[in-house]
Amino acid sequence: MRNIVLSLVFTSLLAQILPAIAQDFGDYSSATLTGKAWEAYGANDFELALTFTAKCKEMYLATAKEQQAALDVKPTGEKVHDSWALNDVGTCLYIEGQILEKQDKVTEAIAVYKILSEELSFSQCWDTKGWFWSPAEAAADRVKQLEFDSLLD
Amino acid sequence: MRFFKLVLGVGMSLLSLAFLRAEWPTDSEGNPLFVKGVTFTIENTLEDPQRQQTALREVKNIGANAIRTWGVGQDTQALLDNADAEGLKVLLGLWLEHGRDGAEGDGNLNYASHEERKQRQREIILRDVARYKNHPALLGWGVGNEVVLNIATEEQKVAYAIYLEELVKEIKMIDPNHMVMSVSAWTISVPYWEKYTPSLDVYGINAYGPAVGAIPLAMKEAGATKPFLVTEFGPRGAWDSDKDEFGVSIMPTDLEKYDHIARGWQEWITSNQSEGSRGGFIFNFSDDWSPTGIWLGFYLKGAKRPAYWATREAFTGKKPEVALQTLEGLMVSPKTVNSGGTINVGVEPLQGDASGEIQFFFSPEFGGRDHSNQIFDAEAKRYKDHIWKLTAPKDPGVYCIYASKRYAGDNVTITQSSVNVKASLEISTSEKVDTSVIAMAASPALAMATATLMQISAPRSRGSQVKIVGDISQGFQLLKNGQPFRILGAGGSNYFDVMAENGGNAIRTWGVGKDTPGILDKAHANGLSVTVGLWLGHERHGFDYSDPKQLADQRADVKKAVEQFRDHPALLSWGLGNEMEGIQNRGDSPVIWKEINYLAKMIKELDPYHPVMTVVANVNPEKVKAIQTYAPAVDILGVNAYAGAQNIGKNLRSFDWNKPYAVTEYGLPGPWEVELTAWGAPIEPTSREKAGFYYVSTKGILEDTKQCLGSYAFLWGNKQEATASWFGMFLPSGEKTPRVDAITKVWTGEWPSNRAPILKEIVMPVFNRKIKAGERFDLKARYEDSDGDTITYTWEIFKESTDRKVGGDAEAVPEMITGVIRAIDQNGSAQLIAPRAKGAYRVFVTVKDGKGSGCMDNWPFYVE
Repeated sequence: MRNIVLSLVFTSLLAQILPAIAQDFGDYSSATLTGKAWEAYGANDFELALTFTAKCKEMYLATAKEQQAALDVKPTGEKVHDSWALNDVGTCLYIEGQILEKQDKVTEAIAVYKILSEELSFSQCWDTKGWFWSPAEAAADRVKQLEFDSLLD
Repeated sequence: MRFFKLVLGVGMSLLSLAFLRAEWPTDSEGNPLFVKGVTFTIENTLEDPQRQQTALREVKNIGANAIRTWGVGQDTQALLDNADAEGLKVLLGLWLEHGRDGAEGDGNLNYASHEERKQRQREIILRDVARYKNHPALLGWGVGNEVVLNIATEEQKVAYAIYLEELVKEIKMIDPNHMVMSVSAWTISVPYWEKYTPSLDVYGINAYGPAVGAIPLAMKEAGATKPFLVTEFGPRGAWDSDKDEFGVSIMPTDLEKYDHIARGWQEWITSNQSEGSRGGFIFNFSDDWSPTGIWLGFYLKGAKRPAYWATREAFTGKKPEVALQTLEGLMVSPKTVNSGGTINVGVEPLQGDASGEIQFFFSPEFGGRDHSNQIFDAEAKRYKDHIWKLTAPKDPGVYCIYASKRYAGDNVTITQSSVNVKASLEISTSEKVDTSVIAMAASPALAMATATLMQISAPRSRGSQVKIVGDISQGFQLLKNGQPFRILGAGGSNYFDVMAENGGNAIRTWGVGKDTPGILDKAHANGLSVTVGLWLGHERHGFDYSDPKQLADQRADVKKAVEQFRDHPALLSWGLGNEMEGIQNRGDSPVIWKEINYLAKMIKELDPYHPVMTVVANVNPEKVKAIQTYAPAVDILGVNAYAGAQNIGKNLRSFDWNKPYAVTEYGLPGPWEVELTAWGAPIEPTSREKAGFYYVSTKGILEDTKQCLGSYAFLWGNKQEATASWFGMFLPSGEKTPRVDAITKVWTGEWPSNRAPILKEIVMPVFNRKIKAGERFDLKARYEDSDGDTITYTWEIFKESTDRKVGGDAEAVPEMITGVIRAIDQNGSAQLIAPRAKGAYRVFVTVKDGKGSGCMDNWPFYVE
């Protein structure tokens, strides 16, 4: 009995630890979570990517909204980095929307895009080509595109 | 009605003939004298007792035949004698006191009650008439100058007009041989003269700038039955000009002044002879070191101003004997400075160079007329190149800053800006200006006062009247004929019926040509409005914005186009240039934007009823700042943008653009913005994706209802640019594509009654691949028609385009390869046998529904 109990306890602990190892949230910073979400998305591991985006939202969505509320215009220059949570959560939402589109979950994708475009409109994402782009503007475009696609089909 | 007009016409002719027969002098050939005059205020001095006579000789030399004065003085006899010696006539002014403090001679004579003063004035006038009536130089009498303007009450104005009538009658009794006239500011005195002063022979009208061209119609509207002389004429004056941030009138550049006089004389005075114009007097043959002298004078400290040469050209047709130089762009930073502080000033030459000696002066804009007429030297040190450091005046207040340069042949050019001098420690942080940024300050803003004058006088009946209302905080709106107008349009010159059927309301063109009248008429017939493009030269095509000859020719072309089409009822706005700033640089070249500003102002003076839009290739902070700095006369910024067009508004706001904008070209990402094949061929979006781009962009653009006036999709037609199907919203054979349907859905909320086929399935094994010559492939591109129409398929192979250009320049259609593809069936299947020749190709499929709609797609491949 004691062995069984110990075994159960061990199994329970393992169940908690193993996903964390598989997902490897790193230092749990928003930047790390977003980077890992991109990486998994690029590798077409959509489920893994969604765990990173979900963790990022869980930990930083409230801060992101606070940073959005404190802004009147989209920041430029070095000030972009002051809105770190806003930028990372916005990017994660965009990744999430992209994955939902690929999974043909159009309604869910639109819902995510709308949150991004309406509530985190000043979020920005660094493009390795050398500039910031706006996940919120891209999301707004995707909403319209999906709306158009639904009209055609 | 026709009879009535005939009687009126004969009546006017008889009146004119009677007038000419009785008093009007003749020229040396016996023809009625057409007055080519200047107002004249040069007097002798102790140092130069011959100064006046020398000046009158110059008056004669520039082709004038008359001068005008405002009153009689101690030197009148000498002036008449000297003028006669030079063969000049004199319109001798007889000054009548004003009824209230005015802009010029003060006065407070109440013409309704001050009988004794009126009598004394009358005696002096009649004495002077008797004294000079027989002088051979006398042209006529100018009794009173702008008196009605400077009388406060209606009762006193009427009393004055009655008094003037009595005076004119008495003058004629003393001197029946010379005409008697009075002078009005614009035509405001005319109704009083018509009613109460019928004895006047001719009306004098003081007017400046392009408003002069509107005098004949304004005279008709005022009920005038007499001919007129333009008794003061010149470039737009200080009272008629926009004000800068400190309320200082913005002086036209020397180039603008020259143009107003030389061109204006011909177009607004000489050409109106059949409308009653008897000539005029250009203001002012003077050498006054004063703000007015700087603005309008012929000389400054003995050096000639452009007015001298412009008048000479107006009267003789001769161009200046020297290459005129002009300064523009007097840049001042900071604009607000502590008393005694340092002002950084930069001077740019518009023509010539700024390397010579440049002097700076201050003139206070405060402290009343006597104070503000002062001009004193500025303490200036050259910092480097074209930048100087001036020491601000000690007394706080707003000052004009003048920069002047004397150059060859005793000529001088001068330009102006302003600075606000505050007592030390008075400047707030927000007023401090970054001294590293020297802001352009001297470019004159809109010539709206003149335009307003033209609007008041309603010189012509206009086909349409368009204006912008609102501001950046409340939002802007276009009003056409008083009704809100949102631009739902596209660029192109065909298929207007399709646009009208599908909810569009506007088209845009890029230039004026032989087809423009037809385009406007056709648009109007379909209820569409038109932004008429006025093509401006591109540097990449060899146009040189620093070449005065090219600029002059281009200005003439723009002017001609505006005059030709400004009255067309379909006209919505002017599209001044298209991407002339260049598409491969930052687009912040001052020389281009200054010219845009010049042209915009010219257009608004010619046509105050339609806004001026200039069109650029996308935006960046430097470009927007340059436009705001150097081209403030532009009303609307048109932006051509492909990828991300729906975000232009956000970008503009982040760059602090505070005027309205329109998206003037948009659609799908251009060939320069998409992924390329391994051999460098741009991968064109599918017809379905293109429709999506148009839907998303149009909807996104029109969501900005505050600053965006609307949009023009590209291209309502067809063209070869990279491929035959990239930009055209119509097939080469004229069928509308899904892009038209998509934009219709946004404009109206509904699909068109007949929709184009939609791409549903692609099997394209050659796409973006290198294949072997002779290799066989089965291809499929299946389309569906939601209306159930029968679709026909055409498959074609073309070589990849090698005639690639930039900026939309015309490209040649590449060679078609025959015998390598055949359609298998009418369900979209085909077979390709790869061409034998190595190279890049595209396979095209064109589908049509037989009811005016169609679709075209293509996929690149390469034969190794």
